[in-house]
Amino acid sequence: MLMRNLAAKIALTPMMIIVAVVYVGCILWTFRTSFTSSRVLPTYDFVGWDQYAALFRSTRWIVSLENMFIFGAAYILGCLIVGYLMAIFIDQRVRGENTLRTIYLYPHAMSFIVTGLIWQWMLNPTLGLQDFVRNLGWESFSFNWIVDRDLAIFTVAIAGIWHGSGFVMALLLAGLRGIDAEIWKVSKIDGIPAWRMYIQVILPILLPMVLTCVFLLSAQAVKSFDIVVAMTNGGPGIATEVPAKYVMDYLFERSNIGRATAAATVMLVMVISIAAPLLYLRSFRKERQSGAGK
Amino acid sequence: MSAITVKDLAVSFGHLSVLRDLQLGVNQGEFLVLLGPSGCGKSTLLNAIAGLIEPEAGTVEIGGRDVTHFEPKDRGIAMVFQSYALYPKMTVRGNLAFGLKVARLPRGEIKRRVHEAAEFLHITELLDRRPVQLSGGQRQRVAIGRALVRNADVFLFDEPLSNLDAKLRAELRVEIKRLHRDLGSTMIYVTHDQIEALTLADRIAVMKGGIIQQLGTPREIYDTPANLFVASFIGSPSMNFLEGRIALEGDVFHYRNAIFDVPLTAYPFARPPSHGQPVLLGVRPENIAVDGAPKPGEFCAEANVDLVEPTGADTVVWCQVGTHSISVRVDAAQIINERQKLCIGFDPGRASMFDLESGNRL
Repeated sequence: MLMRNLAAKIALTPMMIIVAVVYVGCILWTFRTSFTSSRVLPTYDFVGWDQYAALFRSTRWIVSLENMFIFGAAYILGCLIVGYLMAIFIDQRVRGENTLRTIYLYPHAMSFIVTGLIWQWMLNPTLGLQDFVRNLGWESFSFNWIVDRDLAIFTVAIAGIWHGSGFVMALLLAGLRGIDAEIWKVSKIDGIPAWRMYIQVILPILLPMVLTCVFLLSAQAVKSFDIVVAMTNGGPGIATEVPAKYVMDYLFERSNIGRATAAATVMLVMVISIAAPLLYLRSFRKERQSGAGK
Repeated sequence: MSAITVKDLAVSFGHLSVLRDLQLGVNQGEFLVLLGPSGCGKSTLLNAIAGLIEPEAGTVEIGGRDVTHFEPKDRGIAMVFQSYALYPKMTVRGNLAFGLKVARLPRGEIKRRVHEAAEFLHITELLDRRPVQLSGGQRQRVAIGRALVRNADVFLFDEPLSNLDAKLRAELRVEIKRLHRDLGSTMIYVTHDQIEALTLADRIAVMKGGIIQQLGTPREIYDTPANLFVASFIGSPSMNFLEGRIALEGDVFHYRNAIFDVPLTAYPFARPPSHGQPVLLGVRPENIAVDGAPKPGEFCAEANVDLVEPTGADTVVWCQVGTHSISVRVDAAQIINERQKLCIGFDPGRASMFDLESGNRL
């Protein structure tokens, strides 16, 4: 038993060690440290839930959490809608499909830092879009969401959607291409308009791919840090703070390792509590399908 | 009045011309089968009638209306496809009702039609299942049901049974025949399976290279094929072909080659042959008699049995006559052994004679 595939096991051992030490080990260390009063350097005392209590008393943390959910919802929904529309558009056998696909996918090749910078310029009222339209002659045009406390988080979402929808498009387009052409013929004979087909027939077929997109995009949403730093740096005020930025700030600038690790642990728990049921559902479905196939 | 009239139809994909100047009339209540090898244009013709392909030229009339530029849904047709093409995430009921819902029919009417169709096809107990939970045969029944609820005058079938195994295929074939008998609608059915064509059709249109080679009843197609292609495409095992020449002796035409000399008094010539004309003689395996003592004026050739293939109901005997390999269908009760010598003959009245050059029937 032990000797089977020995070469493969030996080859995999370093990787297994790295996973155990770096990933699992660091998670455990973070978890342990969140129960200490560590400041600049980690200490190993035990202060119970103190750091967590302080965390949830902090307005900035609460706002960060709220922002994460607002940004996540707008970002995921926006990417799915825009990505699906772009996929549908390309699936109409348009000319220059490859070029368009590259253009749509291109933003995804850029880092969030670059994306954030570009959109910061674009949305800056005195430099970007608003100024451009005003110079065209529409003097009263106003688009200043980025400096508006209530709307600034949505500008981050817009930049995120610009970045992520090409990726959704690529995934859904592959799904659209896999759909039986005869279904479209049937829909023509049944007289079903294309938009109803896309919503009521095609979307359910693509559901597994949509779920994959939601999965990957929510990971992006939770760990979003660079895009906020580049675009608004959390401002105006704390209007666009997000949890990942909170962790980074407390870890380095504020030299409060205890608080930072507590925040990181809360983030981890949130991710697990969202991901676990989804993963469970999926494996459950797979089992049922393979059972039905017998 | 024809239910469907196709005039001067031309369809091409890019530079590839698939159909040219095609004429076809289908009578009210008729079951017409388009039969041909893959790539012969039969599905293209069906799709053009359905309005799923824009023809380059020509017109399509359905029920006396020129529908050439109508949307498929406005042509009064229903269609069943090879891949079933069910809406995968909807229940059977949803599949049947979706088109009607979109057409904004009253709910009671939708319910009634779905119920009737399900009853007719014996799928009532499947109404709440999803396509993945159905077998191939059940899926195709649902697809037929979805066509049925449209209350269409014309049904189009695009190789509906090709994805099914042999047993189910035979079962559903009977079902489709029953459907046609009970509804009396006009049906056009595309297939490459000659058994389906022969069993279902009122008339068969045999196609090749975008051209209808022959249009006629299954009997006509089988007994008097119009050309070599039709003769060789229909029938399994295929018709035996023997090269030879026409010879005029007195005022009687003879078919002659190194082995046979057959007087053709009983053969109904469509056009008079000429002396010395090279021809192909075609005889179906079941029209060859074995070992019967030749009657006066008949002929007999010696054959060496090469292989014997019992098929259950009858037996196919492959034998060698001179340089020709000939298949003969005999009754299963008749015992024939390999390497046996036989005397074979046939009734010239039931044979087919083709011009060697053009391949057309004489």
